[in-house]
Amino acid sequence: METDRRDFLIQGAGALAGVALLPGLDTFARTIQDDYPVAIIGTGRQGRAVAAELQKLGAQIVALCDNDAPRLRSGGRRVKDAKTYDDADKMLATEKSVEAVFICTPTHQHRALVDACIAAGKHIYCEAPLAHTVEDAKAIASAARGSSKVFQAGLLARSNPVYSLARSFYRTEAFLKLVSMRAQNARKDSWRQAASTAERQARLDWRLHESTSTGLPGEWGTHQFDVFHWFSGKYPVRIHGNGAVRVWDDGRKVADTVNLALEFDQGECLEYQATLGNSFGGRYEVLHGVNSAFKLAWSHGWMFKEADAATQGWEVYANRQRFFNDEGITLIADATQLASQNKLKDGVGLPHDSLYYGVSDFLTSCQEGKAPKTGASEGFRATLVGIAAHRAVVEGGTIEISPDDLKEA
Amino acid sequence: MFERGALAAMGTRFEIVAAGAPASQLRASIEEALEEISLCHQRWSPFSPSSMLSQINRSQGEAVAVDGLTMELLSQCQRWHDDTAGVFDPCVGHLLSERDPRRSGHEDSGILKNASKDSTFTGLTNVDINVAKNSIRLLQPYLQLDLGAVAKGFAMDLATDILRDAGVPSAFLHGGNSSISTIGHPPGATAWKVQLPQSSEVLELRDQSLAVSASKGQYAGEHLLNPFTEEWIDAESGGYWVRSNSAAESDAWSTALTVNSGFSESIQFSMPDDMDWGPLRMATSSNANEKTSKVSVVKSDHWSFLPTESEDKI
Repeated sequence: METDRRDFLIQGAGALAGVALLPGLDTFARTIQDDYPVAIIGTGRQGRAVAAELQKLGAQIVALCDNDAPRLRSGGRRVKDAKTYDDADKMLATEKSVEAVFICTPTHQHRALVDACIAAGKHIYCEAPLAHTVEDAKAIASAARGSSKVFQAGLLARSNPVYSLARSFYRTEAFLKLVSMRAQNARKDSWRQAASTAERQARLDWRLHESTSTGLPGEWGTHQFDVFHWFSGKYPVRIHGNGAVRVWDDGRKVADTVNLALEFDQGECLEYQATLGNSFGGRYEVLHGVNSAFKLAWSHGWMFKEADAATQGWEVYANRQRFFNDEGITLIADATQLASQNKLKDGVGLPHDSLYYGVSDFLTSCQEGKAPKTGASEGFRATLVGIAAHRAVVEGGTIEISPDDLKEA
Repeated sequence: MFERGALAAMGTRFEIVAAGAPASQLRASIEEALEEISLCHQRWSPFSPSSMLSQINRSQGEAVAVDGLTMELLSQCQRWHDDTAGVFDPCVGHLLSERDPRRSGHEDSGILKNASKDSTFTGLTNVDINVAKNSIRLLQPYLQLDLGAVAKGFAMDLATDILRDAGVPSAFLHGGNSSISTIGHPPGATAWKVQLPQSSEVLELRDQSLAVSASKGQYAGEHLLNPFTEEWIDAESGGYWVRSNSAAESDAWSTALTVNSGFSESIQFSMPDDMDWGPLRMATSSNANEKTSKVSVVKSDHWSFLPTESEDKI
């Protein structure tokens, strides 16, 4: 802590340097080799979003695969030069030039696809949660560990420049000590998929089936829980949960509204709420510290200082936003460069979606042989917490998580 | 019978009404279609610094790799630009920014000030659309793109495809009451019926799209630019409707016809064979401050659409 604090003060003394602890945002795109050959398995919404970011990064999407014809067609429209396949094994056997594969299928299909991609010698980006069961998650982590190729879990906070900037403050006197944590994800959406036949509907609505779903805690919470894991370096030891079908009473059993309390070993608690019934507030995470609080909302982030916290030299340059009675300092990555050009306001909000930075980090790891920022271990642990949180909701009780549970093997 | 969903995007309100399938299927289909429209907003809004369009507009001569749909839309813009002899022109973003400096976050950069002095850079000949490289490069330093004339229609075409793929047999989609797309016909009728603004004329739509474009904007009066002279088209010069098989096509051609009607000497170009069109009969107002949102209000036999509350401004 002392080293971190000293580093921070040195940077703070350099006026604007305090708000610019990161390299320029432009460096993300420029490190990627043009036309790097990749493939995408799963061309639903997430797969199409990945494709768009890959195109912006200049990667060459050689092949797309989906066993759902309309989705494959939709993906093909967006990536006109890609070959399309309805079978992953066939794609992997045919497309030898592909270096990396993005697995964007339903969660319960990940394990078999990870095994197939590893057998084919591909780098893998696997969406999170990694799996719908602990057994599958362990198998995926174990297989990834045994591979010489890169495996990145699709948890995006660790690649997000705004979150990285907030975390650099978290480790200094500007934040000081964690008091409490809160997060939510609110979106008015039935979670049903559009489908023309009952068979297709049943296949696409995997998130509503008890046998394949990890519910809101798994599908949404996993991504947000990892923010707190990453900042604090800890995983919860106990999760209390409850949930209900509050809005979409269409026969589903998977709760559309959940409330969770994730307890950590020294009394820290993360309160989490997710709902499909109302969209107010959207998705964000809040960390309360003794000297400040962070509100992080993926494309944006703010620091709310306590009145008795020391003023840093760089604050006079900071951009601020008013939230009722509170004033937030906007967390701006690349602030030094922008401020020198008198464009600090242009830095409010990331220039790309979070996914862009995650995909960019993955491609960089593949090309440079570096370990990914979010590897199989981080993915496994976040998945395990998500599955445990879902269990807490389903059982309406408390789930204990022991250190042994977090071991991959 | 009808399921309905709505979304605020592109500075206006999108609405979808669907029928002919189980309610849960319709609901899911509408949600997915609206999400696609929302993604289009994120890609092409000039007001969001993170949009693909803003990234292109900030690039100042450097090639920008773009996503597939942005490339598809800009390639179509190239075709409309060529087919209308340059009357349809999305290269007017920097001129629109002079009126609204919130665009592209350049209010402090001085670029707009310079552009206003030397803003002779319109026309897609000033844009390198490289399909093979999937990249866009603006060839003039101050040039900015604006896709407001066609983004709504393109988004609705995508949304319509989603509804069709989901097996929805009957749907009516509109964006800001000025761009419309339809699937099939409403239950109990042979076609969707739409009343043109300020008129008793009714058009029928069945698996077709309609766009209306008028020289008078909803709130601000003049809102269309002559790309050749870079002057605003006279707000009283009228407007056009276009009916075709694509909302984006209807958007582009209705804009081109309306812009052309504002020229002192119209430019000659041929309309495609597979669409029909006609002039809007505009009510005139002596009060310059009067809201003119009725220009884009349409009425359907099967749904009563409310005027949008916000200015139409992607």
